[in-house]
Amino acid sequence: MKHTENIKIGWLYPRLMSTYGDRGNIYVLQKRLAWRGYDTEVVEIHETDRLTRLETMDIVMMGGAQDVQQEIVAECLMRDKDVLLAQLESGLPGLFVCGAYQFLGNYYITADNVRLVGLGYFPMYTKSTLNQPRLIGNIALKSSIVLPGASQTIIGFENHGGRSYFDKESAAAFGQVMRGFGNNGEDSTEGLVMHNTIGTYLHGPLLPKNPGVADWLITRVLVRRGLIGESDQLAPITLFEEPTRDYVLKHRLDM
Amino acid sequence: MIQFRVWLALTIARLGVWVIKSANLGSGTTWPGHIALRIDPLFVLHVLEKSSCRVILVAGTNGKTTTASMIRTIIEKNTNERVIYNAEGANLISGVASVLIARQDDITSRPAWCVFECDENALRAVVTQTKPEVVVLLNLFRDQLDRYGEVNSIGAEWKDLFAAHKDVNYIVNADDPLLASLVNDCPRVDAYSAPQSMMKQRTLGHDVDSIYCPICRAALTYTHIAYSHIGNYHCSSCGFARPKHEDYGEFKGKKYPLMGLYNLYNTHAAILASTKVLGIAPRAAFEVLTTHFVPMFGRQEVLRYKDRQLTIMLSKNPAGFNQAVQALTEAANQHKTAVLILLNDQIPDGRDVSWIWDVELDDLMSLAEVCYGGERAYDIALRAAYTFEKVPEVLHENGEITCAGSHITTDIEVAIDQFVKRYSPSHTLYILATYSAMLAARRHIAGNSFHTQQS
Repeated sequence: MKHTENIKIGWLYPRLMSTYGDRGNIYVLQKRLAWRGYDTEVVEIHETDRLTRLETMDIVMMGGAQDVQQEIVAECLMRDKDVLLAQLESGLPGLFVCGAYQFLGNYYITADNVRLVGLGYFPMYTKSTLNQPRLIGNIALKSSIVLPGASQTIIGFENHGGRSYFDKESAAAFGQVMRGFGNNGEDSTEGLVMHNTIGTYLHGPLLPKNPGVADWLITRVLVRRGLIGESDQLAPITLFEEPTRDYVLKHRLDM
Repeated sequence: MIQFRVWLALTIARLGVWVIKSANLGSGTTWPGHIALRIDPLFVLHVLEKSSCRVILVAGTNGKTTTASMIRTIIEKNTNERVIYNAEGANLISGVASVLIARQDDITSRPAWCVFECDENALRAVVTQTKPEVVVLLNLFRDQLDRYGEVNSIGAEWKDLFAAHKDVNYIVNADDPLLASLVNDCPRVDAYSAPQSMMKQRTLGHDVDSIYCPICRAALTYTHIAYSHIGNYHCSSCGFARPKHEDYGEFKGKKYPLMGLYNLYNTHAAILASTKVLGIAPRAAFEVLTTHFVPMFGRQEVLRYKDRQLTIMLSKNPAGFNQAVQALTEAANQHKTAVLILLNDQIPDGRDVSWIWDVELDDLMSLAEVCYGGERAYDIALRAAYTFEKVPEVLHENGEITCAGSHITTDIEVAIDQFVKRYSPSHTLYILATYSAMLAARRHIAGNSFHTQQS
């Protein structure tokens, strides 16, 4: 079946915010849509562009980066903050990883105790302390969103200095940590989900390793465009994600 | 007192070496150095102070082993003096100390050279203790981010270090913007590049790290790109640009000792460094390399196995992997080519294999048949699966999985044997491997990890 609708995948700051293989998420969204017969277009949104471009996107992804790059991006995001928030609040599906996830919080306290204002989408703040080690390693979660036709176990790799804390009354974590650190290494939560947007510390190729999360996002895109119904199932695509996940669980996380 | 301490450190460490050798406990590359540094934390400084050694250090993300070995070859063929060097894997201060212990007689008896490659995080300690005459700076790329941290933090650390050691002659890659900016204020800098006509990449790829001005943070303008963020850049905002440099256009069209543009840069670094210290002509240095240079293990090293030739290329980060693919693409033009990618995630490889998604695999997939091995074979195969236009066929047979007909095998020895058996002698065979996978492959093929195969 060939669909003619053009699905636009917005990629925020690919030159600046893509240090840890974040491009994998774009590839997987694009291919899993294309393999199912949808026309797709990956639209790169750079620091020289205005975020009004998001108004024509069907989904948005933003990855992580080094500190210097994040400072450049912070200015661009704050300038067009209202546009971005309006889009996410209206249900634009999104994936915000690591540094991008931290931006969506209320504020970030640096190691020198400077408070940087965030975009305020997630009811969360992040704290960085010099004398605490970075949280680095393989991680496994039990997903809190229902992943269509897939395992609820999510795997990934985290590498962050900041520790994030959120208001549990007004938001839900992306998953429960089974192995690894997650938001802060203390409360067993990882990431956040609000409306159709996921924020997470699982950097780089989250979607290749976890096609269930990819298909959850794709379902949100297609439902929002009215191309499928809320109860419709996507055609299954299974490669060999199961042995990929099992290897990490067994040999790297002793599960 | 210091003299006694050095003597004690040396004696105990040498005794340790003797015990290890006699009891056949393995080579133990760096632990004698650890012992010596434990007794005298400035052991390296104290030993070198008493010698008349001239020290050259080589640092950077990719090409250290190859470039240091090229410099060594040029010095050996142009002087009668000994060259002391550290084996790779021994490129921390403890490795340097170990080499000095093992080669103690060569250092004290007559003038000698020390050519040490140096780990990014160990450069401060090694510079402080060896007081080098020359430091060669090759490039800075993202590499094992879980271990080294980000490129900019290494840059910041190095900038302070270079500012405190202004008497050093820095040999720098003019075309790496961050690296060039680090020696901006140093008085003794010589820079190298490549001929502009060889910089053929049209747009910046996805494996770049330093494409914003290190001085004012504006986006850099590139008129020519060699690879990654290496090229002819300038900042239209603050005027930051490449330093004055040698591009060695005179060697253009000649056969270089190793394939690939990245090795052309390594060759130029070695030529510039050795012409500075020896006072010889660049042509003399170049000719030594084309006649005498032997690739180091795992760096385009050709090994024979079961009547087949295998070329092993260490590929451990996006920039290095992409350059290996580029070199292979040029070499593979007229041949049927098969490639085995071996991906491990041991500590020397980096525990995080996310970087494979920053690698350009499409070119390789269209050019060669590709198989997958190593502990994270499934991850690299998954990366490859997402290059296909249609969903690739996945088969499970006898406990084995194939994707689009290619084997995915976590056991490296099985993967290599399958690979060699599968392709006819008319195929040219390559292995692209991360560090520990490369060592495992060499152990299986050549019977040991480090020593060059006798032909």
